[in-house]
Amino acid sequence: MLATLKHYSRIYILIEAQYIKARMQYRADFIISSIGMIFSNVVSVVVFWVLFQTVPLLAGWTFPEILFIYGFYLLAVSPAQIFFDHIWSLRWHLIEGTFIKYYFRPLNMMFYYMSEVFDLKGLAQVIIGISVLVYASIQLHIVWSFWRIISLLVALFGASLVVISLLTIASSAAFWFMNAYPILSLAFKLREYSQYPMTIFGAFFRILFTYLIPIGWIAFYPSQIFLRPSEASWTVYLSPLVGIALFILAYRIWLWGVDGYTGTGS
Amino acid sequence: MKRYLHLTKNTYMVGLVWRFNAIFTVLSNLFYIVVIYFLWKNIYGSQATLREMTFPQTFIYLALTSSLFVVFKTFVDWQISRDIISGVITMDLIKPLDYQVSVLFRSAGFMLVQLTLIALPTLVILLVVFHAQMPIGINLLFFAISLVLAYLLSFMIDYMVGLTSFYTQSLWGISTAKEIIVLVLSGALIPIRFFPDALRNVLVYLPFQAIYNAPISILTDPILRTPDYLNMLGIQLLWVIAILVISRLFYAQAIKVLTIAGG
Repeated sequence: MLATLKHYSRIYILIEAQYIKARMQYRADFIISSIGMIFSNVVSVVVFWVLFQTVPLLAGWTFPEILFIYGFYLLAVSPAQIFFDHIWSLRWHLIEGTFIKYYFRPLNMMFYYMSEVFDLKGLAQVIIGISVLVYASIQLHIVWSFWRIISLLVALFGASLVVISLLTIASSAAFWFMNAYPILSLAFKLREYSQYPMTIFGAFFRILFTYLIPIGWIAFYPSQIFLRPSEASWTVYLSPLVGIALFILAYRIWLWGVDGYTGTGS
Repeated sequence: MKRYLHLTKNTYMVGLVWRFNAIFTVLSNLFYIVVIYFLWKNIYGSQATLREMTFPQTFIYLALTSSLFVVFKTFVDWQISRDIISGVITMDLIKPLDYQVSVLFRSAGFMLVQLTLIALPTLVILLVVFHAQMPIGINLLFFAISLVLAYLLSFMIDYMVGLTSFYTQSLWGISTAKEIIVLVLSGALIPIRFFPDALRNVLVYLPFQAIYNAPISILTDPILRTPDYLNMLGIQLLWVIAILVISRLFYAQAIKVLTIAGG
């Protein structure tokens, strides 16, 4: 187990080192893309700021608390952005038959496929996420003890698995429908709504976003551990397990699709 | 004119092929509408009005701007960028047609597909499920004119973003930044009345509010009267002319650096 992990880490670093070298030929692209990324991340802060000019509370939450949830959200979606960005091309590889090549390496196929893209502009998202989280923590007087940082990392790990799983399931639809772009882009939009407190929704949508399309576990539920722990239900501590369970499900669906793919015949 | 209309007809037919996409786009837009419904319901709480707008007014305004955003998003910038990078643009340049006008009429075909497949079902759902209400009268006529002007503005901004591919092939960043600037400053994410006064006084002079705020306000705001409509249309028209001149000048500059690798 440990030897396999070491082996895969080494391969991943080798692949990404080459990839980053190749991307750095387009330095302007990296800078412009990062600026685009920063814009798309800062917009929510602006929107919340304008809203809080009119009302003091949103569903009982203060501006710094909403910012904390948003910072958590940005960090939770970053691993999917950085390490799993290749899911957007899956449909093309399936339609054109180039997906066949991934069957011929002695590596885990999901690992090999996803390792082909390392999204550099996602790093800008991490920086914005950390800045928002730090700013909100200062406003809220949250003390970051050693154990609290560890629990933040564990919570973020679970939350990022939820995002990765939802996007993987949506893009795996391409194994059956070929053009799964609309499904993937719907999942991507839904992911964005996880920055809002789930308590704003009515019963139907709260149940939907908790159990069926579990975007509540991306930011709102896990951030309860840090925001108002005394008011939080014990279930929020299960969020890492939700992430792991969902990822197992997503991986099964991916494998199911991979096993059934027959190529294009060329 | 007839030559250009053929372009519109052709892209309209091609666009209809993507019906499967349209279902998901409608669904995606409906989820967004649900989110803004609950979000703003919470913001209003027990208050009847905020910034002189009632909850139903704010809700219908935001639901319609988001639908209009989907209709206007015809990926003109991506199409131009792809044509420039692959060199296909030469096929357009050798035709005896104006490049900008050809792209406009093609985009219009796609826009009309989105209007029929996405905006109309959404509007029906808004009226039936959410019991949305809007004033019906002379404003519909002004709305139609305003919609055309708004589309022209939105198109020309996308067109210029596409032309940047003559200089850099990094469209994603520029297109994303443009989209967000337009969404925020046009009042598509939050009605312009909710912005702090100092900011709002600047926003009304920028071209962005003419894209979403002007047509949707004309359609939904019951306070506005004919002089207000004419005033808003006048501002829209001024911006259309100004941006048209800028985009023509930009094209004249950008085309000079075009190099196509053989072929």
